Amino acid sequence: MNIRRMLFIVIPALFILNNAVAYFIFDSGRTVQQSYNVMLDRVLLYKQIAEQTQGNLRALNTYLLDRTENSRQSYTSQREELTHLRESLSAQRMTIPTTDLTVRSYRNMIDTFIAQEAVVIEALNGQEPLAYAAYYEEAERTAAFVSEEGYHLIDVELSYYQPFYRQILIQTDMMNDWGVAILILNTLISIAFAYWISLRITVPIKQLASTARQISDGNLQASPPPISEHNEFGILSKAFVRMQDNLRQFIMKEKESLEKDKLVKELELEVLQNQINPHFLFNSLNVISKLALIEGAEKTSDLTVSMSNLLRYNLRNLDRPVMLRDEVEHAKEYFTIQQARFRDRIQFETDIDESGLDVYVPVLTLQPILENVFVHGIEGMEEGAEIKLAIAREQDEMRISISDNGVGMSEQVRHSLLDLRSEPLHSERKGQSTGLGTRNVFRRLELFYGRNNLIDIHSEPGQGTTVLIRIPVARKEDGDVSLTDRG
Amino acid sequence: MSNKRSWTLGLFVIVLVFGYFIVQFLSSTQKIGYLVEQMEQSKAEDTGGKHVVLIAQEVDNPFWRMVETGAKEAAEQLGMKIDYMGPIRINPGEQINLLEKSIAAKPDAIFAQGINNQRYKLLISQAIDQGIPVITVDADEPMSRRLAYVGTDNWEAGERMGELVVKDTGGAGQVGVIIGSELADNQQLRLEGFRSVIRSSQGIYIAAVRSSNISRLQAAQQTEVMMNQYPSITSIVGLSSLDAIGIVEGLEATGRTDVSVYGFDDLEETRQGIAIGAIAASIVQQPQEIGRQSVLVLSEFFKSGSIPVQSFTKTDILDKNNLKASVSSP
Repeated sequence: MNIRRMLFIVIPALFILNNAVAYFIFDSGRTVQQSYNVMLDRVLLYKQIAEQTQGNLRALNTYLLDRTENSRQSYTSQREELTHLRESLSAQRMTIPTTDLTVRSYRNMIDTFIAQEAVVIEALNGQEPLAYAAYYEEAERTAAFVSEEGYHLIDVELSYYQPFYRQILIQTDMMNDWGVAILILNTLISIAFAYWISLRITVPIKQLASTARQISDGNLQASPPPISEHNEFGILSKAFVRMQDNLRQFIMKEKESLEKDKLVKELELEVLQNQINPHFLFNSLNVISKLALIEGAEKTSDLTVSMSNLLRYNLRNLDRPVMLRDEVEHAKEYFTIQQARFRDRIQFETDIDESGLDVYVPVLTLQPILENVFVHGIEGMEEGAEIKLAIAREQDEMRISISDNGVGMSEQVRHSLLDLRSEPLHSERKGQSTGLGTRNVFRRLELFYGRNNLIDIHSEPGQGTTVLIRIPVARKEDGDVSLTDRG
Repeated sequence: MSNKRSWTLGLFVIVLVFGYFIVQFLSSTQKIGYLVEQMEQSKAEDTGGKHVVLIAQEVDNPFWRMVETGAKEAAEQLGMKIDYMGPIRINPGEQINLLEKSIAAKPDAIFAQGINNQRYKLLISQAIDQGIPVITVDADEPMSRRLAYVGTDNWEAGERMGELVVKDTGGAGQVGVIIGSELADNQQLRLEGFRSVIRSSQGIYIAAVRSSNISRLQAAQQTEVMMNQYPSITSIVGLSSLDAIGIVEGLEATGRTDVSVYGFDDLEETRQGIAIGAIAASIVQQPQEIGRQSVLVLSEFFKSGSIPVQSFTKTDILDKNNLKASVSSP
C-alpha cells in the first residue's frame, strides 16, 4: 500500500470510528433520556393538577374572604389554568395498564371540583348570604381527594416503573462502563495507528538517509534499504540503486578514458624522442632533393621528396585522426622508399576500393604494419617477395588486409601480437621500427573505436602473413569528436 | 516477516477486543431500548366500560380479596371494570371517606359494605342523587337508599348456627355469644337469627352477649370475663370471623376445656382450631360468589332498571368432617 492511499484510508477510518463511537454513546444517552420522559411527562402532569387544584382552592378562598375584583380575576385565571390541565389530561389517552380507572376517577374528580366551585360562586350571588359555606366545604374535601388521588397515581406509576428503572439503571451503568472502555481503547487504537503511520514514513526516510550518508562518504557498495515497491519510498530506494549503478559505471568509464589519455601521451613522447631533430632532417632532405635535381639525379631527388613527405607525415600531431586515403598515400610513399632499397626483390600490389577511403583512422595505422612486414616478413628473401595492400568495403566497415609471402610467424608470436595486454616478446627486435610497433597500432585502433576484435592475423611459419584490420564506417564522426575532445 | 505477522496478529486482537466492547455496549443500549419500548407498549388506552368501585372493609383481607376476584371475573365477562379499594386496617371512618371520594370520582356504580352509620347513609343518598347506583355487599345498610343488598342471608346464617348448637348440646345448657360489632347490620341479623332458634328450644338459653369490636384480643378478654361471670356456660358462639380464635384463647386463659366453641368463616387459625378440635364448627360464607352475584345484579340493573332488593348467597358448615378450602370474612 503506498503512503498516500494508506493516509487516505486510515485517517478517515479513524475519524469514522471516533465519530461512530461518539454517536453510539450519544444515541444511547438519548434512549435513556427518552425512558425518563416516558414517565415523567405524566407524573409531572398529575402533580401539576394536584397543585393547581390546591392553588385554585386558595384563590377561591381569598375571593370569598375579600370579594374584590382583583382576587376574582386571580381565581378565574387559576380556574382556567386547571381547566387547561384537565384538557391535557384528557388528551393523554395512554396510561399504564393498572391506572386507567384511577385516571378516569381523577378526571371526574377534577370535573366534580370545578362544578362544585361553580356552585359556590352561584351560591355567593344567591339569596342566602351564607349558603356558600357548605358548598365550599364540599369543594375543599374534593380538592383533598384530588390531591390524594394525584399522589396515589404518581405512587402507582412510580412503583409500576420501578422494576424497569432498576434494570435501566443497571444497563446504564454497564453502558457507561463499556462506553468508557471503548473510548479508552479507541484512543489507544488511534495512538497506535498514528504511531504506525509515522513509523511507515520515518523509518524508510531514516534508512534512505543513512544510505545517502554512506554513499556521500564514498561507499558506493552501500546496499539500499529493502522497501516494498508499492511504497513511494520503494521508488526512492530503487532510484538510489540506479544512481549507484550509474555512478559506478561513470567512474569506470572515467578510469578508462584516463588510461587512454595516458597512453596517447606516452606514445607522443615516444614519437618525439624517436624523431631526433626531425626539422633539421626535413630541411636537409629538401636541400638534398634540390641538389639532386640540379645535378640531374632525378631518381635521387624523387626519393628524397618521398623521404621528406614521409618525415612530414610522421611529424604530424598524433592526436588528429586522418583520412584513410592519406594513410594509403603515406603507405605508398613509404613503399617507394623501401623499393629504392630493395629494388626488384619486392613487388607491391594494391587493390583499393576508392569509394571507401573517406573514413577517419588514427594516424600511422598502415605504415608501422608495412614496416613490420619489411623488417620481419621479407627481409631475408633474396627475390620474389610480394606485399599486397587490399582495401574493400563491406557493409558498415572497411576491410584492410596487408599480406606478404614472407617467413610468417609462429603461433606464439602471433598470439603475443594480438594479446595487447601482455608484455611484448623479446624476439621483437628493438630499433628496427620507427617506434610505433604493431602492437601500438592495434592498441590505438581499439582505443580509437572503443571496441575489440578489429584485428586479425593469419600466419604460419614459411607461409607468409596476412594482417586484417576492420574499420567501422559508422564511427568516423564519433571517433573524430572523441579524439579531438581528448586533446 | 515475523514482525509483520505480529503486527497483523496484534491488530486482529485489538479489532476483536474492540468489537467485543462495541457489542457489549450495543447490547446494553439495545436492552435499554427494549425496556423503554416495553414501557411504551405496556401503556394501555382507557377502553371505556363501566367503572365500578368496590370498597372493602379491609383492603388485603382474604375474604374481601375473594369478593374482588369473583367480581372481577364476572365484570370481565360483562365489560365492566372493578376498582377495588379499602382501608389498610379495619376503619369505618376511612370507609366513609372512601365512599365520599368515590362519589367525587363519579363512577358508574359503587359496591360498599354496610356499616350502619348516619353519614354513610347520607353519602349513599348523595350518590343515588347523582345517578350512581349503590349496592351493599357482605353487610347491608338498612334504612338507606341503596339499590340492593348482595351477600349472605345473615339471619339465616344465625339460624343455622343456632340449629347447630341446639343439635350439638342436645337442647340444654347455657350459651355465651360474642359478636363482632354492636352496630353492624350483619352481626345483628346473625344474632337475631341465632336467638330465634335458641328461644324456640326449651332448656337452652343465652347467658350473655358481648362485643369483640372485631378484635381477637377483645374476644379473648370478653370470653374470660364471661366465663368468670357465668361458669356454667357450655357453648360459646362467635359471630364474626376473629371471634372463634379469641374465644379459644380466652378459654385457655381460664383453664376450661369443657366448652364447645362455634365460629364464623374459615380463617386459617379457625381451620387449625377445627382440625385440633378446639373449635367445634364454623359457618362459612362464599365471598367469591358474593362478588360475582353483585356484578350480575348490577348488570341486570343497567339492563332492566329494576332488581330484587336482596340477593342471598349460600353458607356452608365447616367442621372436622369437611375441612375444605375456603376463606373467611373478618
